[in-house]
Amino acid sequence: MSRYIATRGIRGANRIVKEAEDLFEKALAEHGPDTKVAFPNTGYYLPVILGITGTEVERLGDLKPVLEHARSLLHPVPEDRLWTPYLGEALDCGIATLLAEEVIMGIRFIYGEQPERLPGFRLAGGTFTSPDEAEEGGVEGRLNGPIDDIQLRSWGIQLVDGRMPGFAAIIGAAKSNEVAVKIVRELQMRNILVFLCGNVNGRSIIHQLTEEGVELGYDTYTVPFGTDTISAIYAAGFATRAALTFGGKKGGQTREIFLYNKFRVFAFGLALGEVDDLKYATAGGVISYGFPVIADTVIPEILPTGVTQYEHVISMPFDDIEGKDDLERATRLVQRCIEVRGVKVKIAEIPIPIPYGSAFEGERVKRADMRIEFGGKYSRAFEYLRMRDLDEVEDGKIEIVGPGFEDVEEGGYMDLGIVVEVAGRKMQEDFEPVLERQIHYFINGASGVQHIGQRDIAWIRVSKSAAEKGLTLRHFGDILYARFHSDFEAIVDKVQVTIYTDPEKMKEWLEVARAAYDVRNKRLVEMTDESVDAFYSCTLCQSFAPNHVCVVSPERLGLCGAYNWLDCKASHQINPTGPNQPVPKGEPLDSDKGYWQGPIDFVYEHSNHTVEKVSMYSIMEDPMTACGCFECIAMVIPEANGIMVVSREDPSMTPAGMTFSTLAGMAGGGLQTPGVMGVGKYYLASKKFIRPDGGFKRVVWMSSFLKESMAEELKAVAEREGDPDLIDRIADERNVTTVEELVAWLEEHDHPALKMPPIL
Amino acid sequence: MEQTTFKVPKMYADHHVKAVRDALLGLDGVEEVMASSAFKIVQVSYDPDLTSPETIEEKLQAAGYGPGEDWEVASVPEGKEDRSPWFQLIGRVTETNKVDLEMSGEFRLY
Repeated sequence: MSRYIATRGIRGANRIVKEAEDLFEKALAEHGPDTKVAFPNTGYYLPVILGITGTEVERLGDLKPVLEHARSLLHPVPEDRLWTPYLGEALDCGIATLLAEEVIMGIRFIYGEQPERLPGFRLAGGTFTSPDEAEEGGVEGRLNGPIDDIQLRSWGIQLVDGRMPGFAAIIGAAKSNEVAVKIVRELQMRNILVFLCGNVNGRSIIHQLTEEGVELGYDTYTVPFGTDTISAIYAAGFATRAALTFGGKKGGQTREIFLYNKFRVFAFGLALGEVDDLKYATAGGVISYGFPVIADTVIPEILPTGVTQYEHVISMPFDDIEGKDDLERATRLVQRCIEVRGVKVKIAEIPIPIPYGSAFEGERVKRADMRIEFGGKYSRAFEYLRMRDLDEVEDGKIEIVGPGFEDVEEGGYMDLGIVVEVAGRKMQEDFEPVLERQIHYFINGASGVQHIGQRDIAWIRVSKSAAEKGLTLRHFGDILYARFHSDFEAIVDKVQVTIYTDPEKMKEWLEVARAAYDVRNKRLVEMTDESVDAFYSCTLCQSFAPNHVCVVSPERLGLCGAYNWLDCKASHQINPTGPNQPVPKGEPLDSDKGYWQGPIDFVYEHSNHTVEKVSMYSIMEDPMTACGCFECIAMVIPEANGIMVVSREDPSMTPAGMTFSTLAGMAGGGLQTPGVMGVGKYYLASKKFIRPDGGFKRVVWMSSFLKESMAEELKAVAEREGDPDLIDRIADERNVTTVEELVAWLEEHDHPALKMPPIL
Repeated sequence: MEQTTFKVPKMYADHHVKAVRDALLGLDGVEEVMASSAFKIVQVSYDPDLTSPETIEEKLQAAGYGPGEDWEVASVPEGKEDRSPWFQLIGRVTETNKVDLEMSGEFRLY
């Protein structure tokens, strides 16, 4: 252990705890102990405090014991005569620092100082739902602040399937703006989530990136927390909540939470610019999580491993890094960070003139920045993937039939058809739609290209900057060719892409594509749980939720919404030893409730013997467990004799007296809780949806987001149930927020659940 | 343009850097502020016709960052004094054992 680091870290911890105590006393005097303290949209209170101490902070007065605990962890600043290695003391002080930092942030929320204001700043996209958002008329002028539970869960699947290999917390400011951009782009290209905070002489990497026009927000995997080191606590909060959300850990299981992060969350800190006492102290805290810290300045190193799996503190002075210029040095710095933490990164080499990676998937191209659009309001675009025989596909052939967009006026539009033909010995017709849906993600990965929709409602925009860098239609072909080969090499041997802009050909192929869509739709409708011999498991999330097993059937898709039965089947072909294994149904025990011996045995064996029995359809009897990535939570409301369904996009209060975030704690982490279930939203439209408990007619309340985003599907369900007005009889958060209001609403609207047998 | 430098021990972290800069850059005649939380030093470039080191120092003091002032933090947190129960219970000492030092050689010094 370095004496220098320990001394400064311990000194910083003593000071920040003192500062937190002073701020607490001030807030207590000005606001009183009953003042509410909370981060927005989280069910985990102040998450680091919850994780480390088990304290559920709700009011200002609750912070007092937290600060006392922080103080008890402090140690004397080492003096020259002291030679002990200081590791334990430095780590204790690191934890005290994190507790004090979170106390400060909690109090800053009381004073309206969080999320931090930054004039002129605008978040890119995102689901930020600060209480101030409405009055500010958007998210302009504020940084992101803490990540809400909704976003944490929606990133869950990407974190576990490797699309998002880890996160980097960048603190400080880079040598120059262009180095800042390069570092972030390098991380984005590897799909590493980037958290930004801190400053050096008042200048933060957030300022640098904003000045260079880099979009910051959830959609671009770059989240600006704040311009001081204290805001780095939000990164620790994110890591803590990952353990609580996906790992099934409980508040106060400090050791388990740290070990979970050490082995499952690939994260690191990158300190840019000078490192002060608080940065050392904070580093002491994050080392306990198993996260190493890399600095681009000269500081002492802690190289032995132990608390982290790798070296704890690395110094990589920026100007000493070998490289022909600063940009190359920035690339090497990022590479070193990734090596140090052992982040597993998979990048497909895409031969296009613009940056490429999943981090660019959420980018939006505004009309003012648009070079051209395909589809949308003024033109038509479709994409169609079909399987051919091996001798019918010329691997690597990319053909453009019709003119390019070079002659179209700036901001203009044109029709576009993308036809991908694939061949492979293991390819099956059933995989066509699975692969076709990937076109959306593949095209979206290009920086400056926006892709929305699928099939014949695709809508693609190309930005001016992407076009200026030389992007052409042919590059769409290059992207698809490279990605299909790299991501689906087990089933795809040959890929050829034809892009149609010629009006006649376009029309001709659109008809072919529509006929194929129709056939696929019919095939999907015909596919039932009875028509197959095996379901598929999904244990992808076990890296995060070790006791959870999803069983995916044709009529019950994965709770994350990302995997249906066909996806799992294709995934099994691609990776026969992977997380999607066939689960033979075996002997039917009660097919109405969804009990088959096969899934029961499989789940017991693969849940570390914690889930003894599972029903495929019931919410009341042995419901399926959930990891934490669910799109919706279904929960029984006994007073209403039905269930409510709340979507993760809905932050409002539900009739159960809890928000989605709070409910999620009951539904996630591989726990089996009768009456509560995490589900994928399209499961609501399935004939098998809670069939033994009464089916869809039991739904008495659902988030308006679901009503609106699934209007067509729900209309069809209502007709199938013989009650076309059923959706209008279901309450939502706009008219009902309590059980009493719900019961009154149901009586007023003559909801069928009231006449059904008791659900309990 | 002239320069003056202050030692500001209270500025141990970057949120203090922001506070110090905000305070000084609001002062007439202050052109540039270099504040380092690592070295706890503030270097101010100013126009001597408009302001003076004394005015800058006053401004720092008013903002709670008087030069030379440090946080009132006990050098040894309560209960962690040498020979206190805390140390006795877990058998830790904070004074160098010369025998250990001699045995470990220079390695232990760093």
